Amino acid sequence: MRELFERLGRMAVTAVTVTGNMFLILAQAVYFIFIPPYKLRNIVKQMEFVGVKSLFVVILTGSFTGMVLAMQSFNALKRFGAESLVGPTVALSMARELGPVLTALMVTGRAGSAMATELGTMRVTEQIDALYTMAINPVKYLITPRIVAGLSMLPILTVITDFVGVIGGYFVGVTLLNINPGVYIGRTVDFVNVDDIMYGVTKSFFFGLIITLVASYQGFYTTGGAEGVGRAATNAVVVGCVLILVSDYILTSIMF
Amino acid sequence: MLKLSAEAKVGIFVFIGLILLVYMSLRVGGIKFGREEGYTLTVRLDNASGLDTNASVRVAGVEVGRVRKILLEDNKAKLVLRIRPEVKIGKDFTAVLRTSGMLGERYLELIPGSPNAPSLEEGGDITRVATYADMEKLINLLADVASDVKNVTASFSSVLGGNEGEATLKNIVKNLEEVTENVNAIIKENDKRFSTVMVNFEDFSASIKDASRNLNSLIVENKDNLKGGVENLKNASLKLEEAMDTLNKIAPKVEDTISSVDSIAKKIDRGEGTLGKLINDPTTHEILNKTLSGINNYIDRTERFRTFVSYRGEFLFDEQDTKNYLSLKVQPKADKYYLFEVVDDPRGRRKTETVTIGGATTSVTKTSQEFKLSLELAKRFEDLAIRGGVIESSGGFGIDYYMLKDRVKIAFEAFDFDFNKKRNPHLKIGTLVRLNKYFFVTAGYDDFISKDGFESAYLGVGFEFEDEDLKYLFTSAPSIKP
Repeated sequence: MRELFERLGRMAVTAVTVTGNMFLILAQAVYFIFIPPYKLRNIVKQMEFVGVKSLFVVILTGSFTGMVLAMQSFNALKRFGAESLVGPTVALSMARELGPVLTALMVTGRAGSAMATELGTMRVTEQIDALYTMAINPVKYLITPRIVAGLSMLPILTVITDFVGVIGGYFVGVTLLNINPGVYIGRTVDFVNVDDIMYGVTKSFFFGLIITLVASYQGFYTTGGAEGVGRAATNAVVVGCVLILVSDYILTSIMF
Repeated sequence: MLKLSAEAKVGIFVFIGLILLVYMSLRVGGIKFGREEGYTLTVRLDNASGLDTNASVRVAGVEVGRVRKILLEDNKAKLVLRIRPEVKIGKDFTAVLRTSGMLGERYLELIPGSPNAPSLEEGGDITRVATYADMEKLINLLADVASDVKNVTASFSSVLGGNEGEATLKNIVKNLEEVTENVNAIIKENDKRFSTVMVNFEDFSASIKDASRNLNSLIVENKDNLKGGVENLKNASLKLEEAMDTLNKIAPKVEDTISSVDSIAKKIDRGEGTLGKLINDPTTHEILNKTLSGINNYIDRTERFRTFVSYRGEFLFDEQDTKNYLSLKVQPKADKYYLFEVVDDPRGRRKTETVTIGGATTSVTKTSQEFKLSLELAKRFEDLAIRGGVIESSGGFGIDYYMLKDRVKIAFEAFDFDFNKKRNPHLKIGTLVRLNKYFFVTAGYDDFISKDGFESAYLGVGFEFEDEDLKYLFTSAPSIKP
């Protein structure tokens, strides 16, 4: 019985500690964004890593999601003779939900795990401690560039995903399912607003922050050698994905 | 392949992202930079349900503009339309709210009128509006009708269709034929019977004739009896006539009475005679009214009129003596009162006299033992009362402030001004606290800027009661017009 309570207490304390540390890191990282020297090269490197190198995987997921959405909604809408609504369905779901969320999930899997591993290895091999001894603030040197990269790259990746998704849906709808191309585009333009795209982009800002922050935190506080590094990578992905989905719900309920 | 730096890659990547974002936004939202082209028109509809802002406006199914605003004006939907500049909308165009397809969005269709009609300018109003039956309702109705028709035809076909139906129809026709034949035969067979029926009927009418003859003879036999009855009836009517005669004789008298009453009434109406004048003269009424209101007023004043008698004694500490006040407060209205006071001051009454002894003029303040009188008029504004008049046999004024539902009064008074500046005016400040309906205590500082050493703190007690008898003494004096 006592053990049970102890465990519960420990869990609560850990949760609070983790949250607190995360916010501390966030506060420091954001603070250092505005403090020179800016180390642009460092930031650009991270942007390339998070953004450019995720492009392929994001295009792949985006186009296939759009295609499968078109196919599924066509089956459902055909029963009402409303095939013309396939375009809006695909475009709206991509712009509002699937674009930002899928992009964020893919980036977490690709870049988040890599970040956590990298930082974790640095921590385990005492490179971070070495930075301290060289009077270089590791948060500024390692974490700030990553968070800036996440914040700036995720929206752009999301826009690309949206676009590619609509193209994929168009391809399936028009060439495979014989929907009139004019109707497809026309309806899509009719139903989708600029706001829909902008909501998705706004969401992706938050997702970019969550991904990089969680990954950096997990890597930065790695303990326990090679095993710990592995655990950090896993945690970065799992916690990141869960937080993305939860915050997606919260953001949606606030925005719509 | 070209070797690109990290910067270049990120740059291209960002560039592509931004291009896509702008392209999609333009495609989807039709964002226009600067002022929107075209001109505005307005339409008023009874019902704009289902219409959203930015719904399309179409002529012959071609989009010519958008609904920019939907407002409510005089319980009608007022739509502000933005029409493309190259499109001309005639004054006789008719606006109709339509739905595209069965589940589609709503839009506003403008149906052209005659080609020669002048076109509307910026801010113009499309006045012709038509309402079409709701598409869904129409479809439902048609579906119902169709299913009814279908049912009817189905039952028809089930009855008449096929070989069976034909056979039944044939049977029916055959039966009809038989029936007519039978009727014909029956009529032929019964020809004789019909004639006997007619003979019987003749007999029956003859018997009725006999019966009427018998009734006649019955009446003849009882002739006398009938006569007596009629005679009695006659007598009764004669007596009735007599009664009517008497009544007739009385009638003129009644008429006279009525006419004299009538003439009296008329006279009164015309204002002849005392009563007539009394009733007809409007001044009578006014006088009566005035009298009544006067009486009312008088009673009211008497009711309102209150008189209080009070005594208080204040012990002056420096003087080691008591200053006594006997006062009568007459309060004709709640916010106004007169105060008569007789004051016995141990310090006496002061006077400054100029004495000339051997060419040198000196002024001397003398005191004399006599009662001092106060006669004040006070007016009250909410919790503040201002009074003035004669205070302790000299001109002065006072301000009272009431608190706690009049239970506590703070009073300040100034009097006995000496304009030769030989002595300071008599100032007194104090408070009065009511203990109950009758008793009160006072405390304060009397004559506190005195030059003559008269300043003294005081503490006093007193009582006050309302005197009903005095009240009538005052109000029995003839009342003056309000």
